[in-house]
Amino acid sequence: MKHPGLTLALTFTYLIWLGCLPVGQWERLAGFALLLWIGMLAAARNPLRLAARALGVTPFSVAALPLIFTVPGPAWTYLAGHPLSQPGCERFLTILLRAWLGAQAAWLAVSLLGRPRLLLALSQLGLPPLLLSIVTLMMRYLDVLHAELIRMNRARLARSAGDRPPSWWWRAVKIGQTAGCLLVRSLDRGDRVYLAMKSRGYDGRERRLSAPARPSAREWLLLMLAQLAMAMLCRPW
Amino acid sequence: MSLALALHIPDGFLAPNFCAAGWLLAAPALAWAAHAGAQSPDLERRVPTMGMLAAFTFVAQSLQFPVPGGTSAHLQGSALVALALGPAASLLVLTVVIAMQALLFGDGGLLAMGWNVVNMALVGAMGACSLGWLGQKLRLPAFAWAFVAAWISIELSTLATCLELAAAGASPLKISLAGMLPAQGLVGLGEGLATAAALGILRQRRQCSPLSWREAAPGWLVIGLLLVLLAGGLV
Amino acid sequence: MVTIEELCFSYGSREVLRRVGFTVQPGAKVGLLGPNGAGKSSLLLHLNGILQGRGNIVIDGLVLNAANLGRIRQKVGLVFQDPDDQLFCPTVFEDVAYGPLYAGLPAVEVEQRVERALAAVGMQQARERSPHQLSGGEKRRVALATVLSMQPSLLALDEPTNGLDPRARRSLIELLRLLPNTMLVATHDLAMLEELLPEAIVMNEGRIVYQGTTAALLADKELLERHGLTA
Ligand SMILES: Nc1ncnc2c1ncn2[C@@H]1O[C@H](COP(=O)(O)OP(=O)(O)OP(=O)(O)O)[C@@H](O)[C@H]1O
Ligand SMILES: [Mg+2]
Repeated sequence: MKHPGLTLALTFTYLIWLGCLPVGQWERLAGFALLLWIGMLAAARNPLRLAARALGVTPFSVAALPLIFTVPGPAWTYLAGHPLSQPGCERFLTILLRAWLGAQAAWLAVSLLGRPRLLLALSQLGLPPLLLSIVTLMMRYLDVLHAELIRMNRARLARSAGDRPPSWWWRAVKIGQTAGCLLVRSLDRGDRVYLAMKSRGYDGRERRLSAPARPSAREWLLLMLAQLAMAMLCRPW
Repeated sequence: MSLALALHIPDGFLAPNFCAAGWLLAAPALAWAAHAGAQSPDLERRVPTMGMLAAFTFVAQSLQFPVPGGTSAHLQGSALVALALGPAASLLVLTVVIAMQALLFGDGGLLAMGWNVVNMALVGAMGACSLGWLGQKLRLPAFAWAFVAAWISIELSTLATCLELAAAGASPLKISLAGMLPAQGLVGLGEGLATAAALGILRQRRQCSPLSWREAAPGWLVIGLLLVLLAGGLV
Repeated sequence: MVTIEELCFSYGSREVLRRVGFTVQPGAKVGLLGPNGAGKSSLLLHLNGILQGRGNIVIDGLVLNAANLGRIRQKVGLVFQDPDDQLFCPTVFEDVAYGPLYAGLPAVEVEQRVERALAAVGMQQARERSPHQLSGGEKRRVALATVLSMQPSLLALDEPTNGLDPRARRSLIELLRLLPNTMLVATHDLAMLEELLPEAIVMNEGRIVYQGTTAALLADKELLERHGLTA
């Protein structure tokens, strides 16, 4: 899959099908995992690395943990005298696995596309021009502002005596002041960039060179085949 | 691990049709914001500003502040952007930030993004504008109203998240409220202080216009709706 | 090429340009000097109507007014002091294509102009790179290419050698020497002035205090001293 727009479309459809999967269908869930990992191998990405990275979603899963107690149903086992409901446990586990697989799919898409082609993908999927130009500028200036923040932090460190750790609220205020300085600098830079854009003819309307390369027939076929496979796995009917 | 991460709902928690509902809520709000932007005479001037502030929000989120009780959280910046830019522009900026967090860093889901936009941009940012407006009307000192607006807007976002998780059957309301509201309340203290301090610096260096009723009104609508839903959910 | 008469401008209540007037002949390469805060950058921003003060500006026979603004912006290539402000696109190609694209040129022509501009500054190989990966000197070159692609008749450069190492500075000067365009270059770099720019204008506190040849300026130690051009 080389075409940026289709790559992103495939990722979205994977997430949709995965979300449609009923609770507690472990074999089918394994099928989805297999599909994804085959995709990773085909794209020469290491499934183990992406899988480990995607564990980042687990902290949020704490929010779903109470389900194992509260969903009504037969007790599966007991934890310190409290019954753990079986449907609750199934639901929790399904949510956890789906979140994990979903995050892996997103990581895969990003690692396939990379930043500049991500922009292309978004424009091919029809992101409105206003949002697209905000995204484009954002991507360009992330590193510039980050470098600015690092310089500011160094300057601040160089001037602070800092022998005793100050109280938490004072540190929050200090962090806020750093953020405020960065905000002012960002706004100033926004003004200067605006001037630079204007002096090269910018008039508020977005113009782009015509969109490159249409997806090949093979890529369309791949997308459709993947849909078919996922539909078969999912069978929500 | 930072507590504040817990506000981005990943994929897998909400069924696709439920996610669609989130997008259906977020889309008209975005259309309104884009329309309001297109109406403003200085649209062309605001595009670079919005791009730069999206980058700013991203970078500012790498700033960590301590939370009373031992852990630390990262700055969220949604209240800060909202109070600096007003609701319409901040809605667009935060949407872009949320989308890029999901795409580049896997922070929050892609399908669930509609709800994340609702929670952070629609509820958080617009709520902050309304509260800021109220504080200005009551003639509170600038530091005080910025602090309160940022703090409460975090609680509002958390409340919205809990309501959604409950409606989707992913987490029972009373338990998640009891767990998340106090935790985010502590995080919000730091966020509030940082936001107020940042706005103080902004006001020293640049001229900022006070929030108008027109900017505050949509936020009150959102807050009202949220409270009604909360009452409905708890009864 | 450029005629400015009685130009006055202030930021709020702070006057930065006071009755500035001068003429630049077609093909001339003119240095613009003056201490920090003299108003050099502000003056350059007037050349393509980004700042609009009182007074008359005529560029290449066109009076600067709202009706001519678009055409004048095509004629004046303004390069900002910080290349990170100048390069706002995700790739070098898009940045260099920006001006021609917004001038409404057809895609083929845009492509050709980008090719030529990048070749002129020797950065063809960087086409698809992201500006933030470039070194300081490379950024300056690409920043120059972003205006060369608009084929301007006047180049207005704001401190182009600022922050460059000796080799990057040297190659930039060589590059500018070969370009046929009329140039107005704001700078603190007296060595570059002597090498590249036969004419000079000196500003101080918003006023023009000298206009003439560079040789005569550099010979007048007292004048240089008075306006803070030598330490
Ligand atoms: N955006 C602005 N708002 C208010 N004042 C400004 C602004 N930009 C510049 N000034 C002021 O205008 C004066 C002239 O500034 P300008 O940038 O033109 O100087 P310069 O000759 O380019 O100086 P330098 O050599 O430091 O680049 C300075 O006193 C500066 O403080
Ligand atoms: Mg200057």
